[in-house]
Amino acid sequence: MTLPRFALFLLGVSLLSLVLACTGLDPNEVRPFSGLQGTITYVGGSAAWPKDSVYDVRVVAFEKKPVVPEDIITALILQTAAFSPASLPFNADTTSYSIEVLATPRTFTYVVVAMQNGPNFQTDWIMLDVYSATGDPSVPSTVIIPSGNTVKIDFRVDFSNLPPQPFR
Amino acid sequence: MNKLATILAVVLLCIVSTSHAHAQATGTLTGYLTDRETAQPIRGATVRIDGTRSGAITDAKGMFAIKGLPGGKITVVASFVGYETSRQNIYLKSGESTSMIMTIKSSSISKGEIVISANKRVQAVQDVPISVSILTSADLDQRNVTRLDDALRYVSGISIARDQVSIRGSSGFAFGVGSRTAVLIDGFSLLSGDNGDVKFDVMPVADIDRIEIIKGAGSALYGTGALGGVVSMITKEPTDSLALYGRAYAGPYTQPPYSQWEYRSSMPWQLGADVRVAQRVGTVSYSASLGVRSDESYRLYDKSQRGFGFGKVSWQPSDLVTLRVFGFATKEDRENFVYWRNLDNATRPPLVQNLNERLSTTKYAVGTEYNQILSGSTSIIAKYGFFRTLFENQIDGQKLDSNYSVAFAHNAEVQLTSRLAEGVIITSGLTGRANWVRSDVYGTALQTIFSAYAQGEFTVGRFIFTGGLRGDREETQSLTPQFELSPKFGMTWNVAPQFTMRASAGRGFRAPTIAERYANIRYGPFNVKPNPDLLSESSWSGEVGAHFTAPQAFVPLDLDVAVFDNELYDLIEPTFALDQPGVPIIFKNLTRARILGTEISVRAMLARSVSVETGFTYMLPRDLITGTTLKYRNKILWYSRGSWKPLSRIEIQAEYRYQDMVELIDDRLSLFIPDADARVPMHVVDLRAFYSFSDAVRVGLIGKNILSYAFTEVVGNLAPTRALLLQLEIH
Repeated sequence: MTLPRFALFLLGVSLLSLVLACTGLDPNEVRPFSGLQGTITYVGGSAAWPKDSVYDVRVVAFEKKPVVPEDIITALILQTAAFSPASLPFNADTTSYSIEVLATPRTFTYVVVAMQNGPNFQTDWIMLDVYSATGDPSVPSTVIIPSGNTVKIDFRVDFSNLPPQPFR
Repeated sequence: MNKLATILAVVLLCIVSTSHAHAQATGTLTGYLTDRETAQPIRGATVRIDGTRSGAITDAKGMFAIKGLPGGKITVVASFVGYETSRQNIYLKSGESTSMIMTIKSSSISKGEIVISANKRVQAVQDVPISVSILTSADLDQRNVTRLDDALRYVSGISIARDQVSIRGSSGFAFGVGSRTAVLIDGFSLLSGDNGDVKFDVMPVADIDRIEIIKGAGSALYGTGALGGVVSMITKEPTDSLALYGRAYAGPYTQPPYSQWEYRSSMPWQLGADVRVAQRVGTVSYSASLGVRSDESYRLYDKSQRGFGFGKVSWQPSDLVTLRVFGFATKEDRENFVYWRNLDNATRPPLVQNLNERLSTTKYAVGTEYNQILSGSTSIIAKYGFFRTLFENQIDGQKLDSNYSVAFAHNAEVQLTSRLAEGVIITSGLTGRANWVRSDVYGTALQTIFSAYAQGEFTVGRFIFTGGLRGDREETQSLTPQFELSPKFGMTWNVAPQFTMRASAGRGFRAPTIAERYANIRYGPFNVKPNPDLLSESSWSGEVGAHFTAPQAFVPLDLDVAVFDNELYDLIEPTFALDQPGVPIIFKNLTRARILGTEISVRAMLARSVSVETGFTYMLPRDLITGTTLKYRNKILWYSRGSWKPLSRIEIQAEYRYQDMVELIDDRLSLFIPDADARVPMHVVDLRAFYSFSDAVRVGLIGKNILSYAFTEVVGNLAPTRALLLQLEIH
């Protein structure tokens, strides 16, 4: 083997080794999870859901309780809120949810199940349940998410008895 | 306005000064070009007169004729792929014909490259003061290029994110709006009138002779859009013999590397075909091509079908006049995969996506060009063309009102090139562009850009100095007009026949597009709102480089090194307007950035049948406002290629592309794109094997991303996984 061919062989083997050592994107890769998980139970089951006014349902954890509807989108943009990445199923009896929280540890003072009840994403939101350690939804509880740990919070939504709304 | 008047006056002065006294008798040069070793005629080579636009392509017998030349000493330059460029001085008597025999020497390293786009005239690539990369039609054929943006992935210093071309980090990710690279076909702009984006799907692959990539700001000649550089495509010129070309390919995407990404049980296929016919008959030459593409895609809801055509007719009623008309059209119907559901479902769209929705696009363009040699040393080109684009979303064939846009981009230019004296070449021109848009999302709007430019090239001994200036006046609707002044400077020093040094600096700018100023659209859960107050973004590019060729060395090689600095001002980016009700997304002049870098390109023949080439670019992209790395930019771009011909009829090629992981993206994309931050370095290996049954028929087995490496080029979009293709070519 001449020197140039040997150099080419060496270059090829080096490149192949380099590439084979790299795995690329892997959906099975286990990342340490920090966040919120739990179950939402809807009182009355699927029959209790509003018929024509459900556009989106999410669990949202706010660092600071919103005062006006526009505070919701501002919190999302400023990343002072964590939320379930896609809408949760409609007309369900129970639903499980999972929210990954980045930059832990983080503290949230207002954790809710929220529903978009109109076409305007920025204003048409109501709270279906508010997390409270005492069980009184008018007194929201603070939640701390430690690094690498999961906090379990279950919600109970009663469409006929919604918690106090932050905007009204 | 006064500045524009000054520029116009300078240009007119150039035109007046160069168009006088050209009634002298002109002569004709005829000749015969052969291989220096075999004495065989060279067909399809370029023979040109140095410092002018005059030139010819050799026919099947190696013959050429160049008419309309002035008397006196001229330098004839012959170049061809795989040969060293050859120069020969001759003396031509006024009004007489002269014949010559010219030979050129084959070279394993030299590509015999010429470049047109750097200074809007034909010249040897080593005489250009800025970095230039060239892809030939052979490069396109071998890589099974189906869209021309695919070809650009194999050029050092370039990265592609969907249709966005980023030259040395000039562009990041901007929702496909506002290209920072000017893209041209035969000098005709291919940026759309509404989004100012590049429509790669209209370009006729079979008709492309070569692609020239000018790296660095180029607005001094090309105006708006040439912020990061210029991609110029030159179509093939017909010869006396009938040229027929056909290509067909078909093959599957293999199943993805993870079972949860398998969205169907069978392998999706892609197939396509191109045909081209061209010939010169007397004073008329024609070229026509057609192509079809069908792609089932490696992702659900990403199928596409596309048909396109190109035609060009040239008429040369006299030795000095050429009239050219060309047109192209494409129609595409595709599903509209915008981003993935999540990393676990990277080959599926979000659940809320209506799978019956289609994106339908229709584009066509018509252009004319009048070219007259006023004398052997002066020529004028006048051209006009328009480019119409239409996109609309449809459900079950019915147009959706919320996403529709039709745009016309009209372009006109008059250019004068003149050799005033030995070693002095002046190029000047006037241009006009009008973008007219009617759209559900942008409204109805008109944008006009008028400009004037002039450039001088001065050869002094072994030095070539270049200086140029362009003024552009941009006006959109009733907004205050904006004025841009774009100078450029360059120097080339031919230190030795095989060693050249260069230095250049130039300004680039990009006027805001109508889409960026007037977009009023819902994007995911957010509203995009208009911002008519946008200003142009601009850049200054500086470069120092050297080029060295050693065709006779123990290991023949060609080496190019460049160090560059791109200063970017007022970059337009989509951002959230926190001070407006509802926090909409608007386009805004936000970023001041600096990209320092170096680039090394090497081609070498390791053995008689083994060649390698590699291009390595290292950059430091900094956002000077935030003090962080510039978003969506790579630091390392590395491209390598090896070719081995174990037998005369067999060729095996391997290519490897690497980009380091993008360090920073806009985290807020994760608001509506799950796993938006999922990204890795890019490692792509392509393998190809070709067998030539004869000079006319070749079959190839092509493997793209042969290791099925999973990565993203755009946030929330898995790049194509492994594809295997069988390709048949007939010349």
